[in-house]
Amino acid sequence: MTDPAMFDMPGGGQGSAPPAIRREPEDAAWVVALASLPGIGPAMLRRLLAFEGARVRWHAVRVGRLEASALAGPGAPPPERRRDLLERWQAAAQAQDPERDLAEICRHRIAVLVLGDDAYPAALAAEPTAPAVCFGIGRLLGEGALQAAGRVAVVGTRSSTHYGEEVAAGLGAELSAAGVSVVSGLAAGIDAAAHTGALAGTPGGGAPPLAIVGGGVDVVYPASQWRLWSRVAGAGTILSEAPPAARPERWRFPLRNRLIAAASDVVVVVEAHRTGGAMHTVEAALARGIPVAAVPGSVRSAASEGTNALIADGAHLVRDADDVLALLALRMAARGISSLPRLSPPVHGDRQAARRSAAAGDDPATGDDAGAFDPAGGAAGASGGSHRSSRRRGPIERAVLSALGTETTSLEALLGRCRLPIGVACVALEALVSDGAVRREAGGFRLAR
Amino acid sequence: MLASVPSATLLGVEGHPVAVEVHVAPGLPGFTIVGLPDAACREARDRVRAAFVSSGLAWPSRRVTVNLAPSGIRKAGAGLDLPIAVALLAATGAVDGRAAEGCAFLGELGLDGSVRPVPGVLALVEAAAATAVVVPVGSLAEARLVPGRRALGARTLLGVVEALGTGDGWVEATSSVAGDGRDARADPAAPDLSAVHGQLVARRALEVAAAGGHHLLLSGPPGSGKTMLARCLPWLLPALGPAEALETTKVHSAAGLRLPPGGLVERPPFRAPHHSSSAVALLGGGSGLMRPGEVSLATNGVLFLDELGEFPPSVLETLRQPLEDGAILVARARASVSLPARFLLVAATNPCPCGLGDAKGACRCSPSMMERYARRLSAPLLDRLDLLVAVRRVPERELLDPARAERSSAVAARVAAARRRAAARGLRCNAELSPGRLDDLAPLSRPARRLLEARLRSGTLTARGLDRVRRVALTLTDLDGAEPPITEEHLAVALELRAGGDLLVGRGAP
Repeated sequence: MTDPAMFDMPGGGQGSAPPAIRREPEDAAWVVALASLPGIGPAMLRRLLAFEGARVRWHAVRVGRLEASALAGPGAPPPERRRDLLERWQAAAQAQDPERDLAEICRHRIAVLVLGDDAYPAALAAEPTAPAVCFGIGRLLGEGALQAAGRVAVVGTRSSTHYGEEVAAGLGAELSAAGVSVVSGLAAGIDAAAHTGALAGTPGGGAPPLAIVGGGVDVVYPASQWRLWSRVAGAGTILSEAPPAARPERWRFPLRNRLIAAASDVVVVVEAHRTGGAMHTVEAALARGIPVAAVPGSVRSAASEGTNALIADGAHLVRDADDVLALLALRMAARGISSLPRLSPPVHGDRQAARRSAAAGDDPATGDDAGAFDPAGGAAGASGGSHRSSRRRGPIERAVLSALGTETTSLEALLGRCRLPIGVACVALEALVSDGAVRREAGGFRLAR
Repeated sequence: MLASVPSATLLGVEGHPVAVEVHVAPGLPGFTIVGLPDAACREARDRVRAAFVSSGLAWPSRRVTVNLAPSGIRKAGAGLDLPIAVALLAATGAVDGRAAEGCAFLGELGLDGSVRPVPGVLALVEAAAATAVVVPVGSLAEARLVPGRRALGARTLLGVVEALGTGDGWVEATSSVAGDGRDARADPAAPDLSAVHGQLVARRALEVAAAGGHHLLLSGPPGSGKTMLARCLPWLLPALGPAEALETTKVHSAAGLRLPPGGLVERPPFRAPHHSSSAVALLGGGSGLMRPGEVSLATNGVLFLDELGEFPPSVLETLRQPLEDGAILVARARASVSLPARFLLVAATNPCPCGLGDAKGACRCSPSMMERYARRLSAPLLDRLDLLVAVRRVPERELLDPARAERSSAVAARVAAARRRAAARGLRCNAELSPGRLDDLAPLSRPARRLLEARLRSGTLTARGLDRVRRVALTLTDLDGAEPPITEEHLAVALELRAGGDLLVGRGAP
């Protein structure tokens, strides 16, 4: 795939004012047309529109009068590639009718938001590399989706563990219930779990979720995610700077990640490998001076290597939603914003229970909407996590329990630790799994939290 | 001027009687073979003539017509060389036709007049319409396995002529190879379970597979010992019974495999075809020959498919018929043959495409990659496996400990006892127990029933899996020397021995 110009990463974060694009009245169709050219990235598009209006640029592309030097800039492709690109653009442009295409997009109820419009998401308007145009579906944007009490990105790896998914779902539910909009990328794993959790909080008055995706807003990727996708669009917003029907090509994801960072007040990484997409988001957040927080994990879990490394490097440590809310309050206060998120009351012992009920109720593995989450948090959920554990356990079950930890243990390893005959151990495990004390996972067992 | 000698030809693993008729008539010298010979068979002409000349026998300078009756079936291979030569000698009067009466001949001729072994002698001797059969000396041990036939060994064509003339001089026993009393069980090269470190669960699964004839899937990272475990399996199985041994020997002989000394395959065979094998190589067939495939060569033994996910799905799908019927019907334009294929399937797979599995931090396969990999394993095939077991890498310190594990012979003794219990129920093995007889033969105890009900309710056991679990639980009961009803413990273990399948399902998207 063509690798377009990478976005220009500003050095200092907040300081530099966003270079505006040149607007003319009623030119959205041509901005969209330029954004749909093959292999054009956000930086190139902004460069094209910096000095000339979209109609003029489109005409120049179409008749082949655009100078290759117009594409020059930091991160742009070398001159010989630029000429190829211009030829491809010309071929594409001649086959297109911008006004008809825009009408088609609007017919599909996809909102077209051009930088400079009133409807353009405020969260992105201040971003130095803000997309010249972005597309959205869902509960739209003027209705306050992006004007919630704050926005927190909850991101992480696609190859997550149950631990990470539970934590992400719990954070999503609690943040959403506290009126904080959860931002994520709708990828499999942590992203999906975070939004699944956030949606569980929405019916009770939670903040609308915001998803920023890599491909077109009408291209569900991964396809298995279509249900969550439509629920997010129903309760919140899905944004993308890729034109509708754009395939989720690899190069789009690092660019998407910068928008997730830019649209958020705090970035929370739940689980991440040492390298990967979540780390792109972290870099983008750091470059913009946005606080980065991470959830610690087992030192033996590969999926927590990245997050543990972040904490070691000084990232904020997140144990629960309150840690995030505190961080968010500090950040809002620093920016002089008064509408602080509702911190849950610090009642002794209740936080654990609230977290447990959120994690248990919105288990991402089941994919089910677990019904109403109690936004007041706490007391009602306290019975949820532990009501079964009161059953009396025999010595064998206790031995099995003591041989298990929060990491997945194979039956093989378990037998080695507790030195029980396989039949006895299996019966005890069956009982413990059925009363909820132990979870069966791919490849073994672990303690349920 | 006409002579007829009985012989046989091979189709699949079965012999078919053939009468070799030779007619010698005045006319232009020539030699024609009719009666649907294949290429190797047609070449008999050149081999027979060279053997005659080398042996100092006169080649008739007349018109020779060889007919292989019945002409409807295809005659394959060089096994008809010797009967053609003998019939020709009888037709020209070089030997007395009456001396060869009631005697069938099998064997390929070398250009120097030697008689060479041919594949499938066991089946051919069985099929030959005669009371005595002359076979190459190398195949004598095999030929002697057939009851009711006198097997006579021949070394050279000249030897045959002399023996026919004098009525004596056949090689009747090959004392050098037959019955040297070597116990196959004591083969020092045989893999032994005592060399496997740890792997309590996989060991148990192997024992259950051997005792109940349950098909087994081992899933685990490379280096976890899947292949080693699978190789131990034939040595846990009891030695083949007389009928099974004959059946397996017949297949091996027909495929031209080297037979053990003594001629009889007494140990269950172990076949491990590579994943690049074609469907024909696996199932048998081929143009004309109908050579038995790997599934037939593994009959009464173990078929090991390593890297199951790398086999083309189309090839795996074809395994369903043999798994279901214990036989495979190979149909070609000219003929269709049924080949035996009753094997114990052991498959091995990596849990994900990189194969690193649970090694710390090494596997970076994305969930979608793992899901795609798991999808390669044909679900209908997995459905036919009773045991799905995850194999773990053994921790380093355990590897260095001298193994104190049980020897194969101890496990094999339990397996044999369990198999006797199954036989007492009239079953070959528990895996063949029909669902209708489960309630009779494998009743559940009360706690076991409760356990199953809970599992079915929670959706972690399907109706299809239910019968398989009950059969495995019955085998576990047999192995412990207990009597049904099935206890909670045996059922819990049976459930756990299917749990390795979870690794393959992939976690998917929430």
